[in-house]
Amino acid sequence: MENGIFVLLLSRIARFESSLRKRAGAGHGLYYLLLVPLLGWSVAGWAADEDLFKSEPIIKPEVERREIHTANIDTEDFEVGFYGGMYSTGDFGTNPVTGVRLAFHINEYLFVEAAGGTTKTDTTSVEVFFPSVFTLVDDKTLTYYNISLGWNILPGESFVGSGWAFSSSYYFIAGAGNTRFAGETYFTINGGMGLRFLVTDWMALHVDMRDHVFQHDILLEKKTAHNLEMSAGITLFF
Amino acid sequence: MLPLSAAQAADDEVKVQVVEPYIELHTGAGEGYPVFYVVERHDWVAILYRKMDWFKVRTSNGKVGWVVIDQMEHTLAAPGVQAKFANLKFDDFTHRRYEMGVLLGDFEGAKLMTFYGSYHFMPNLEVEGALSQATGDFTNQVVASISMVSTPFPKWSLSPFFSIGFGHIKNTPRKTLASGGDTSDNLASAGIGVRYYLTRRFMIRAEARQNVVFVNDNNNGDFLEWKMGFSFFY
Repeated sequence: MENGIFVLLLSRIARFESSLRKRAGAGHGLYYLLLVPLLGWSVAGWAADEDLFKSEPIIKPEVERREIHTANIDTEDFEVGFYGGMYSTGDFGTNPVTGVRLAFHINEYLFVEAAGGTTKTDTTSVEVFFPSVFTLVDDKTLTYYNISLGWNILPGESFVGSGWAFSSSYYFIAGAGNTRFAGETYFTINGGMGLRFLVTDWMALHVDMRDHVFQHDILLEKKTAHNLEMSAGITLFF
Repeated sequence: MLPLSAAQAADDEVKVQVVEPYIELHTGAGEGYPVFYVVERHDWVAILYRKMDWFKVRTSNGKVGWVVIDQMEHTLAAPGVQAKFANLKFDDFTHRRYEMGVLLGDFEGAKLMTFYGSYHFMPNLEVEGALSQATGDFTNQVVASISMVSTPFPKWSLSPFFSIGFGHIKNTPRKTLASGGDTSDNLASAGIGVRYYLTRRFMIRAEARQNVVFVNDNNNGDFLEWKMGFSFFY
């Protein structure tokens, strides 16, 4: 760097001298003689003036400028996948559930998740014993959707032998949505926690426990349902 | 220096040069993951991909790790050109084109859930489509609406907005408690609300809206709704 400045200074001095010589040749000999002693002072003045260095680089780099195309960088903030498990519908039994989830990761701590699932419910015992009298629920299918906010806690690595390390994180999650059951729609709050285990950077395994809370009056009396769900799933990042 | 540049130009990978004294490679995409390697000034790294605010990079000697965006911003894309990684800031919020979100609230006593999307054709004017589901004790409603939304101060981080719109409401009585069939009516609405820019692509939104439902020639129904939620934009 110091060498560069030195070379630059010398070239400046040389250029100034040649311009003075030209003027001297044109009949300004006295002017030239007067100015030469000032040269040292002038150079010092120029060296302090940074603009000179910036405006006219002596060595112009012959490198092709290459803009960075951020579009070429693969961003993986979305996570999509499916899950399966067991869903307990209170009086209507515990049955297999399947669902899909889509998540957007805001930062390393927060994510937003949309999920939807469906399960079948059992025939209640009163319907079994008195089939001609009681039909509580015509449609045995329960479906739900929800939007939730997740908070990653305890991020870390899990090791398999000496050669493998996997990222993983637990998360708390809570949100709201709707549950459709027995011909009605019920506003539903959900909350729970889960584990996300990254098999690769683009694929994760989930284990999730969730409570779906809503008020219903299917059995004529208003009651609060706590439908517990336990599921495992697989997701891909894109 | 020159041979490296030539090699880099021949490659499709995005490569950047470190101009800070060093950048740190973490074992995972998070600030808690340990630093296992540092890349020194003048070295090049190839960017493999990005997750949130973290970049997975490969160094010239084959080490692979995660670098946080703040450090990546201090690398060079090419001699003299600082890399910009769209670390979404407030400017992007004021220049957003599309917006979508989910809101929770109350629709004249019923619990309300709304999904909406909007297109900003001017910084302070947008057209918005929304689909709402309200679940009450006696009836359930589904409302579809289209609104014009005016944001008089789009550059404020806490920015108020006003909306007028029209739509359609479908009313379904609960079978267990109420009798009667579904009804379907048109509605008009006027609302006021506020947005608050949170981080990256996110904002919080809260609004109140008065709906007038045209039940028949002689009757109008008034439905007051308020809701709050989060949205993201791009």
